[in-house]
Amino acid sequence: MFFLRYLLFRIQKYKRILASHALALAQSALILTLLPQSAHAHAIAGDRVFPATLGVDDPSVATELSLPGVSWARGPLDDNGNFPNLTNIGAEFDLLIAPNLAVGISDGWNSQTARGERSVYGYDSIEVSGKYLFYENDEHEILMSAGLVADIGGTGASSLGDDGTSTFTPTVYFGKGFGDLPDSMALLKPFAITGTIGVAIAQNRSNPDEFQPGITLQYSMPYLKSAVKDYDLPDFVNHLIPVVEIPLAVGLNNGVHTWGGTINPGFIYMANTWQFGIEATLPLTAADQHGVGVTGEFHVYLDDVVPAFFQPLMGAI
Amino acid sequence: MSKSMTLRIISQAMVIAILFGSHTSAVAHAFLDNATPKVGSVVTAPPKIIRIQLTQRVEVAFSHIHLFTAGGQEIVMGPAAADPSDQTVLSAPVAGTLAAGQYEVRWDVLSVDTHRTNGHFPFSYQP
Repeated sequence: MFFLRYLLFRIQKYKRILASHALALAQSALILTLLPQSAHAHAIAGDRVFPATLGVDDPSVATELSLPGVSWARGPLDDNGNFPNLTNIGAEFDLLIAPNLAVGISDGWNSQTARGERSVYGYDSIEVSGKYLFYENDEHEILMSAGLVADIGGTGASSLGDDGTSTFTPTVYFGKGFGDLPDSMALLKPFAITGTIGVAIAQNRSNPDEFQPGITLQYSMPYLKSAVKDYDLPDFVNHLIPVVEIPLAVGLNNGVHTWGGTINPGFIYMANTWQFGIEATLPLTAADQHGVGVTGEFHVYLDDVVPAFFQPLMGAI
Repeated sequence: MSKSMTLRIISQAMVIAILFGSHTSAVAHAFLDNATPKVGSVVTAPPKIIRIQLTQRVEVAFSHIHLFTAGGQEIVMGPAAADPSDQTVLSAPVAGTLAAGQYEVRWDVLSVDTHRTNGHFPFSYQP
């Protein structure tokens, strides 16, 4: 209900935007009002359960809620010689409308503060997305999805860079577990990689497009215990998934390529219906951030929590 | 919206989310919690029964345990049955006596909320 009320609030506030983006917003509102839904929560391929990663979106389609996602870092050096504190508190809601098709909506609130400077607060642009799971191989623990993420211009704070134009990012998502390795390499079987390949296309052609690859490497202790060898480790450890995420962005600006990103080592604690992840964020370039930041996220698999309520609207397509 | 109002809404939403997520529901996907013989273990006596404990209750009529040799030959098993006192526990008797060797247990279950999951794990019998 919070999310619905919040969406209505934003819609009222941005009536002008609503008029110019009526179709996308109307579709989102329609989907939200058509609750219930959803079915196959979690990203499962055979024995493998891919967790919801924080910085690089996973290949799953599910009815799930990330609330909150919190990140903090110090930004790059500004004009006044400060490294501003950047805080983001966000949420994302994804909804299965078919067992292999999900739509999502997300937003975040930002704080940018620095000593002796005027603080800046505001919302990100609203992001809507659709993702279609087109390939699943249980034996080789492979999932592949494709989707489109639309960052709706004009719905965020202009003081934080929203110039009123939108960005559209077609993206391919993949996940591969290594449970099919030979038994002589059994301890490597809990490893998995996931990744994304996307190109952010700016509606305003004077803005640069961006190539946005991302990859994660993860080691699943739940997989080790349930499919390789049960070492009688403490229960807490058996729920952990150590992970390193590397989200990158490469500017495609008339042949002048800038790049940046972070390396995010951390871990995810995976329970049956929820998970919690926390990661450090280490900048790859000085233009990304100053020093080490931190990001965390609480994530709920809604169709596991209330399965009778969250069922897909239709069969597989 | 003021900053304090925003933070208030977010904090309320966090509480709701945590309560929602920590709800100890008896539903959701059923994953393997533990097994007898233990996952990846080496046993010195031939197991008479294969027992698995899932993380959620399962529908026994739609849940199965199969046993295979390392060469892929299926071992005859009796029907799977749930523990009367704990519907998360499923077991199936092994018909006959196993020969020494490596085995693979394959299980597939339907949790009570209709989510289907499956998995497999190895064990060895070395007398």
